[in-house]
Amino acid sequence: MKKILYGLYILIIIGIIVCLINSDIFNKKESEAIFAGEKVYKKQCLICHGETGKGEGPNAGTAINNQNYLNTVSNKDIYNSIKYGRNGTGMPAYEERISENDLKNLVAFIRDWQTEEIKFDVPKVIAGDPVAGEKLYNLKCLNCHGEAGVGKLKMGPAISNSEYLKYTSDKQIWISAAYGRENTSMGPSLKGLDGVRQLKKEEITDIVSYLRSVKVQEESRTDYLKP
Amino acid sequence: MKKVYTLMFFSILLVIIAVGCSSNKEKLTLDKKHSALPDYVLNTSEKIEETYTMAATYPEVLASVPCFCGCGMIGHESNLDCFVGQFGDENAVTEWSDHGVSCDVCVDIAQDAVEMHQDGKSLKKINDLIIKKYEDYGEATQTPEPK
Repeated sequence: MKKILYGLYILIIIGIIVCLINSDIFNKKESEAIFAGEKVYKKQCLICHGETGKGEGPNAGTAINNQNYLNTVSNKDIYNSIKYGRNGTGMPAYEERISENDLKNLVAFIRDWQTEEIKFDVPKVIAGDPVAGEKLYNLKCLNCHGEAGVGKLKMGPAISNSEYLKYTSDKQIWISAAYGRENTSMGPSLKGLDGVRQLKKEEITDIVSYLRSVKVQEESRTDYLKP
Repeated sequence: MKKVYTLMFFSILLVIIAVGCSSNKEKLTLDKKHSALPDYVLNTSEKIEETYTMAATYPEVLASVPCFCGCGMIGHESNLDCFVGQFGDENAVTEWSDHGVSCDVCVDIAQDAVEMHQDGKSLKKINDLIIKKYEDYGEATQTPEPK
């Protein structure tokens, strides 16, 4: 009887140890970074991106708390988006506004929103026809993202400014167009998914090639702020 | 004889299931009083063509619900403006809007609103339910609440 009880105690102790290891309770450093990042977020980002990061702030801000976005970008990508901003849009460069440490904490806080691991089906090579892509863009994307991807306030973010194109890979643009951002006005564009555009894989590739061919305007596009 | 009864039983069961699963959604056709649907609608999908036809058929329903795609910024006053540019005499569409062909949330709102209308819900109830479902998607158009 005693032997059974000892065995039971050992099993319970092992169970508690496993639970503690999986609970992130010892990952104090990461928890501190998330906590500190939340404070920075509330001070610097909430006004546009909203309290929950779904773009519900009083000013124009894109939704960044959605699983498709978080599964498309690395921590370095989020870091670059904040540090260098989007020239000519409502998203300024924060490199002079917040410290390097705050920036890293902010990235940790945003990454903590991710609850799912999503694998996207992406073509190995993204090389299409920019002329065909322009026609498709004008028909399927321009209404929200504006002429040549300049963006429309509160409708669709700028997707052809220098920072976006510099820090976003062709595959990331392709994924964003194909799979969209769940629970936002940007639905999926890929044929077979539940969106209105129903584009073939090659057509999405053409649109990516068109966006890459758009002449980036280096000077600030203040007309972005006009509807 | 047993086989006949079994066959009858399953046929009745099939009919009951079919009736239970069918929605109240009517198959709509565009009234001749409206301008013909433009190529940018006809060259897309059946769902978009159906939504444009819904907009022409039930303008009062779409006009009673806001749109949440942000189109208030381009002067839209309700979800109806995403599909129809102008009405002429007898509520006949004289000009279409191309906005709806590429807008997921516009199409979803229109489809939901018309389905609720066909289910017998009041405009006020439809307005309430649409706002509850889509308010996190973006900024609403300044659409007056129906009485």
